[in-house]
Amino acid sequence: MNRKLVAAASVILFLVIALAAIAGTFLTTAPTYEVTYKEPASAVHASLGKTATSNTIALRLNGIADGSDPATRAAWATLSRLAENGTGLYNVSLTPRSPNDRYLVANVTVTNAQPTQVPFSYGAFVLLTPNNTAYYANYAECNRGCVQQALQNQTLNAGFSSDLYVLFSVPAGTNVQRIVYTTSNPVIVMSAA
Amino acid sequence: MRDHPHTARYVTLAVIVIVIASLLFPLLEGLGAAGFFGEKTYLIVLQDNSEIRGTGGLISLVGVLTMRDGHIASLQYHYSHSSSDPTLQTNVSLDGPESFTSFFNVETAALFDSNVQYNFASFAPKLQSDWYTVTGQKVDGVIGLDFTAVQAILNITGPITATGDVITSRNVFQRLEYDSWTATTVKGGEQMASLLSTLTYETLALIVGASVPQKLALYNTFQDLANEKHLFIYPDLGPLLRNADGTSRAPESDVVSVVDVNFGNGKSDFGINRTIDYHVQLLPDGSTVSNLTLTYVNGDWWASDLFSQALVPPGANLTAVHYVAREFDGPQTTNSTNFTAFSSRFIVSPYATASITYLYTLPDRVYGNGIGSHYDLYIAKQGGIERYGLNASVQLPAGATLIHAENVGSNLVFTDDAHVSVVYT
Repeated sequence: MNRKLVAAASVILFLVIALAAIAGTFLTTAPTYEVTYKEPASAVHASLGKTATSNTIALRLNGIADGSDPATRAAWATLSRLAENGTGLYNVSLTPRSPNDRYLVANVTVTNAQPTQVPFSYGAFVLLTPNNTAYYANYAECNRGCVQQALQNQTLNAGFSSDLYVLFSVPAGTNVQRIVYTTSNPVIVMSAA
Repeated sequence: MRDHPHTARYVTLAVIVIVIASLLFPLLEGLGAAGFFGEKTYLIVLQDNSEIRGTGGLISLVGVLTMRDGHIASLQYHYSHSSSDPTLQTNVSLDGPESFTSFFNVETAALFDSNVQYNFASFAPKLQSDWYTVTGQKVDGVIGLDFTAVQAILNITGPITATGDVITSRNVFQRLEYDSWTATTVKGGEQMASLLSTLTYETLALIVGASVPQKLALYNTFQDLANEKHLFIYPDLGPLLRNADGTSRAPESDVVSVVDVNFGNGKSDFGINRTIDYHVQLLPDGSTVSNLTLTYVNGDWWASDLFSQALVPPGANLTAVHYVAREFDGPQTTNSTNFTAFSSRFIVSPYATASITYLYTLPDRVYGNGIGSHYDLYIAKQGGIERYGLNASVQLPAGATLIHAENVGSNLVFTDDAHVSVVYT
């Protein structure tokens, strides 16, 4: 009887330790989600520097620069200062959180294609790699008038046209192929090259 | 002879009881916390750690979460900058720490700005009390998490969609900052509420319904976040989630704890690299001469106005201060039972470096053990800070021979507390 109890205790102890060990194995393999985006067949396309138009807005990708680029930093800082003075928008650092990350800044000209107010969200911009891995926009900056409409109220007035600097956080070494605006009809796809 | 089998039986039984109890108590504690033995209400404090505060970051919002039988019975969020809900803008008294209140000569602060304590475990009970005073609502506990924690949780849950926008672990913290800025508008408020409610429900759903590997991954994430002081749960859950209340549990030894406060610099703190240089000279009588340098490298394009409190063992005697910084104000020395605090305020210019060096002496920091003498230094990481560099050097008394050294050296990087140890004869 005693031997049985001792054995039972040993087995329970073993199970606890084993469970902890198994847990340890699983715990080290936490999943990291890669997000993908498949552009719809109806999407309209534009090459770099060309404009594509949907039902509500027209977009032109003027270029994509690294956040560490001095000219990009200077432009970002200037816009942030203007916006901060005008609307209380936060200063946003262009220093990536992790040394394994990189910030990219897409310069996009946004134009209201309607004679009325239209909805807009910078969060609808997504950066795609050749294998459709998607990185959704982190933040955006633009001039003071633009901030009030495009970022604060998320609507563009009739006649609105402004350059928008859209920030994306990507892993270092990411190959950018396209920038997509996902909520227009049709979806707008802008080639990065 | 006959007693022996009985003794063995009782011992065996006791072992089984202890094993089962050690599994059961955390389980019961977990079930209780999830509201299985009666409703539990928690405050969820979201701290923006890109704008550092004593307990981890600027309070962006406070949620009131009621759990019943493992499900969310109710959930309501209050925003710091809401124009329609003044709850978090209500002024409350500050009960310290003196290193902060006497430096700025302040006695009150808005509730969202009142987390000036050195750690979350000191702040949480005060918040519970203040919350009752302001709203009349009693809460059972306080859960604190910062943007790093939200990011880590999204790594497990996968992306969520809030008011049409896709929120991922990569963009969540800037989206939260943006949404807390626009929360003053109706649409922004809806967006913020949608984002946080979705995140809260998804996380709870994952805890309840996930596969075993997912649950374990989530548990591991929570444990890492607690160790790295991005997630706090008060009161402490004991073995279920060790040290989650954010209390510093350094044994009697040498201690350095740097508690910074960002003064209206915007979201600057992810752009600031922090390094602690600590050189200690051990004297034959067991006392020490310490040289502590705090260095801040500003990678941002705007200046950073920082208030830095260096907490060291009680009884420290400050002998000199050097600094390389703009508009330096300090140091102020305050003494309490647990700490001596050196407080200074200064500006770190854009793309520049600032540093402060404190020279001080400490009594009785070296202890004897069976082998020889040992010296231990604990660096208590501030909640919310992502990482810090450590350069630690220990100068032994003349004639001493080193037996063992741990974490002594240059360019060490830590995301949690650090323990420097030296044994010598």
